[in-house]
Amino acid sequence: MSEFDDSSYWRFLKGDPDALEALIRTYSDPLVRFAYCYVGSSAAAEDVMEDAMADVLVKGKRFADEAHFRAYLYKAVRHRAIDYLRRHRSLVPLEDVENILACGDLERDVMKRQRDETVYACVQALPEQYRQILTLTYFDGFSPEEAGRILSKSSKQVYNLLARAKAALRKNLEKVGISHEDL
Amino acid sequence: MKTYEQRTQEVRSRIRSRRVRRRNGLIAAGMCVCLLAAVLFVPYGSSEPDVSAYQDSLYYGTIQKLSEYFYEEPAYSNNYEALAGTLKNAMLNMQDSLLGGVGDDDYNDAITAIATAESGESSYQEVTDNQVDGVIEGDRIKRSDQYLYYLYGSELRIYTIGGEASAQVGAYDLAGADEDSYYYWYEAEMYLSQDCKTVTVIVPMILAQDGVKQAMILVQNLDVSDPGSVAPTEPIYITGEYLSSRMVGGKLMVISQYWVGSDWTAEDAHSFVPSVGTLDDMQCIDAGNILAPDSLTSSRYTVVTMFDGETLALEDSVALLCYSTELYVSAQHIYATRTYSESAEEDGSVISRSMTEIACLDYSGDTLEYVGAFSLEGTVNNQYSMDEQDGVLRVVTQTTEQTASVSGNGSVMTQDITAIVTNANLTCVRVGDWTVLAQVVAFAPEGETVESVRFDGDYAYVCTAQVDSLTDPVYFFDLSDLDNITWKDTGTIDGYSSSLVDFGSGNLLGIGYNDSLWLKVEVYRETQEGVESIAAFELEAYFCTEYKSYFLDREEQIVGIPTSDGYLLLQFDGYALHKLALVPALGDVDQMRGVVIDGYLYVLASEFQVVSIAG
Repeated sequence: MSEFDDSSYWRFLKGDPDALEALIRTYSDPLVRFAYCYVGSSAAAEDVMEDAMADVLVKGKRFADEAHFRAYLYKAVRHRAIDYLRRHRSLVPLEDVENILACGDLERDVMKRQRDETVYACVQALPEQYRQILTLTYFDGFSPEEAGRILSKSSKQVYNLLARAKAALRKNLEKVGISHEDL
Repeated sequence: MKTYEQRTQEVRSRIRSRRVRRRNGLIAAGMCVCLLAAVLFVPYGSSEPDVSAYQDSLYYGTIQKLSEYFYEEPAYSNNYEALAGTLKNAMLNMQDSLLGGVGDDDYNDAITAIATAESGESSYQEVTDNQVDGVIEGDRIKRSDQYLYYLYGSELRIYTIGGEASAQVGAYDLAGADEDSYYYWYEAEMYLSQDCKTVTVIVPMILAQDGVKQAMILVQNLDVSDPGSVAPTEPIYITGEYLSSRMVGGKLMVISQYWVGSDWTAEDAHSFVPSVGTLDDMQCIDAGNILAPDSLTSSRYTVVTMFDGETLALEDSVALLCYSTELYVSAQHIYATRTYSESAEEDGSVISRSMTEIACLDYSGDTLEYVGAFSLEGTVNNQYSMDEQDGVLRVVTQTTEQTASVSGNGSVMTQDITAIVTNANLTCVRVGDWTVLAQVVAFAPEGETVESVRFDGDYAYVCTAQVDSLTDPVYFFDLSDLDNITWKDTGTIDGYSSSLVDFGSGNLLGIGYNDSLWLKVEVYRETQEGVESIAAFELEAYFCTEYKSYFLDREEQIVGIPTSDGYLLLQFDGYALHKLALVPALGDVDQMRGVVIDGYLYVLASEFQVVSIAG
């Protein structure tokens, strides 16, 4: 039995009542952040994440390992977010970006949190594709190949996108006084 | 933001409601199954569509092939399979935004208050780094000895060439009053006639007319004999999407692609044959000028339309059905490609290999003549992957071999890909009879992809790369003796080149990425031991990857590259690459251009700048 077979996901499918909360604790924060890249509102991002999570858990697919499961979750969130945008068709101003980073870790250093909020806000000010690729690779730790699968892009497209996104983010960060060395 | 407990509660609630819906749905579905079974599983009739009613049509051959193509794909035997199958992709992406049409006179009247142009005859100066001498390629910048002509967005701008005294003397905005059509200004290109009196503009667009949208290419001449008063002529349109163009000896060849949608009808040739002309008189390409293989693997044409460059009078057109977007134009021939795969079963697996068929057209006469076609393994990267010299066509292809295990039964089969192997071949073929004269097979490390190719006389330069690990070798092939082709390589080096350019003096210039995906410019030279990188320059900026955007002066060993930090000018002194200038420039990097004339660098972007680089 692999390590993943003993995971919260499998325990949930087998009916363990505590497994769902464990899944939420592990995956919900980054998924909400990722959804936020699309929908631009913390409330909508929560909604999208909850819908996507429910979809995946009801389907009860088999996954070879945790990496596949995680990538599938992100894809589900992406699809739900795109559906949401189609239905609502309006851009929500980025008023509550600080809320996206607020939950989960109350013991984080205040200065680091403020910097993270600033960095995250700079990311959210970028064009949509740049936001997505940076969130996946720098905030959520996906490799470029995994990010490409989630976004349905080839490796070459992902690398080109990353290069441009980094350059654009660097410019935004410099405008607010954060240098490469500060990160 | 919600707490974890709140989220858990919410997700639990949604799971519960989905399960209830699912259960109810299953019950309802079960009740419908019996009712639907008779409808879903009644088999279709097995007869193929009968198109004999159109046998008197000039396009009967094409109608038969298209009918067969669309009938066979997908091959469903009943309604159930048809619903469960995948749909064909749509032909076009329709756009909602607009930019306008052609020729807004009010706008153009308002910009006449610019420095008056000096009179006098101009002489044409080549500024584009054309792949083949004498075969001119379209670009955003052209020049004479007196003026620079530059396309920025929808605007043609004309500047004098006068060092620090340079000024804008004319402009013409191609955007007009048509608010429904959409123009791809960022993909527009132009030509300057040899007498410097005419600019020919080619603009891909989506034409909206009577509620219908269609991909078209607009071709229009502008009289620039008086730069302060640019005068348009009536535009010509070609149905389809723009791929490329060439101007040779006063003839303009526009190469496009045209998709036949599943809604085509044999009764209307305009629905399945490309057409050319003015908007109120579009003429379908002659049936005799449509070339197609016996059996179609796609419903796309590659179309070559030849015009008189001065008048845009149509001279000839050929449509190759089932061909793709990669093509090459030599001094005499056009080579169009189409890809397909060959599969074979082996020990329970299916092995598929990518293949390319290359068709040859001769344009040296008054009309386009079909010469023939041949196939080889692999796919071509772009136009630089092919080169014709002394009756021999040299081609570099990337080969892909895919192994898949097959499982399933009956009509539902699934394939799981178990291995993909890529490599590169170089093939030399005699033009006309297509005999393979020489071949180098699988010369790259396994798993590498072809990133850039350049032929220069008897030499071929190929960069293959492991894009994931950002490393590449560069190969130098000596093709002077096809019976004994030799090659050297650099070994694996960091980064990879997206463009390889002959830089003169035995040097090869690579423009591409370093291992952090920023710009890296590198000079290679062949040595006795192999190929050596002798100089490199890096800049933490992204750059325009369009090869036509680079300025090259091989005599002075200067290269200019548009980057996100501005226009970069480098010079190679035989030992190192030195930065001559980095001119900050606003605007889209992909539209930025630069040219060095008599010690001045002219940077064309959203603004015009002139910088002295002498001394």
